[in-house]
Amino acid sequence: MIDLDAALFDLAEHLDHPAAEDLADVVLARVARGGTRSPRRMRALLAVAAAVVVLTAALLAIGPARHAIAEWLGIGAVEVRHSEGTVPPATGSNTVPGAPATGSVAPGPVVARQLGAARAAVKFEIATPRAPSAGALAGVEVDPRVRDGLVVLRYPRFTLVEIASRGENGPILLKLLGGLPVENVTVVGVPGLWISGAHEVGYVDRDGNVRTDTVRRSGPVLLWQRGNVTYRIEGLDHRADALAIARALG
Amino acid sequence: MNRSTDAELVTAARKGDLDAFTTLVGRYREPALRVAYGIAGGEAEDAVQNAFVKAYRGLEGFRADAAFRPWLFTIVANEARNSRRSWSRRNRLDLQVRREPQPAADAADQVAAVHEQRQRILDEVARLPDRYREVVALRYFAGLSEIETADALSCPRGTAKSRLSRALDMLRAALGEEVTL
Repeated sequence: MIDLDAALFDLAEHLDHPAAEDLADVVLARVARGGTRSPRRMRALLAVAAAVVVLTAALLAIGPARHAIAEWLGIGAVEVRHSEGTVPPATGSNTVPGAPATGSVAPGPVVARQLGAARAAVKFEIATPRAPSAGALAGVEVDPRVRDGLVVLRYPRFTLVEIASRGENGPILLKLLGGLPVENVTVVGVPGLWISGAHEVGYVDRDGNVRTDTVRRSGPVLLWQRGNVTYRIEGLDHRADALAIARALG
Repeated sequence: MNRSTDAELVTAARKGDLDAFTTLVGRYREPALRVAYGIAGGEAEDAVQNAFVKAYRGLEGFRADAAFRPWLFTIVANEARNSRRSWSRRNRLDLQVRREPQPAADAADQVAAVHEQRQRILDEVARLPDRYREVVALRYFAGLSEIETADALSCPRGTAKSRLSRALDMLRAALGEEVTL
């Protein structure tokens, strides 16, 4: 008597097919693109599709820095706005990409702890520092609310945020409230900014409203743009340290 | 190896955890491809891609207390059926029986015989009419239960059961008494 049942199960265990190995990557890339989301979620995402990064500060205004920002970032991808006063304290439950992970803050909208998944989920080449001093990559987060993607790479001493910043993203908004110490620096041949002192990061949505889900951060930031990507290094106290990491980006 | 249950991963993926969804894709990639090749031949890869993307999109409407696996394979089977083209003319699954690693000399004959037998069964599965090949692919290539198979085919359980029984009869008739596994 033929045990066809067992023979078919056995066959299934010994089947090969020509499908490509990267099927999961392709699926993730499609999932991360807007067209694959449900209408409900799509509407929510549209509200922040023009995702803009707001850097705010609560220190003294510095005119030249304001001018410098406009000069090096005012190239279509970035718009600089100014306002007086201070940013209200964080009240929202959503975090902003790149915000330091703290116990009181919920994780970002999309988390990918694998670099491979992150590479599939964003539309730009993710750069990682090739320097022993950077230490081992400790965490990866992706936020596709930013069109073409945003990735947060956590290292033991610092956090590196890479943001797709093509012109059609709409302006990346640097909102300086009052001002703070900002220095012009050269990062691997391109102009950048070293912002020291406490500041906050938040979103401005498509309607121009500042989202209140800001997270206070205290560390200085090195900020620069290369090609279609804006880079931000947070958490290093010394400018030379941050510049060394920036130079080590492959 | 991620030991989270499907339900845990689905819950996390619904909240936007791409890693959780990646784990689900990894968990069901192979059976999904086997089923899709069994149903759609060369169109299988696109069908499986589409199925996973649709599954992700559908997670929000997916009942948290429902089983993920039969739900996913319903989508896989639908996508595979939709992408099946000119099947009757091609009669090819694009599936192959995997070659075992080089066997020891004294076992070579037996290994070759087993391989040949698997290949004969696969050839006969490929010759089954669509509706019978579908039920075989879901039941055996994906390992679904008879009830899950019926759900995935969106047909009454009795229909799936009798179709499966008929498919096995056809295979037995075609294979004669050759199957000795």
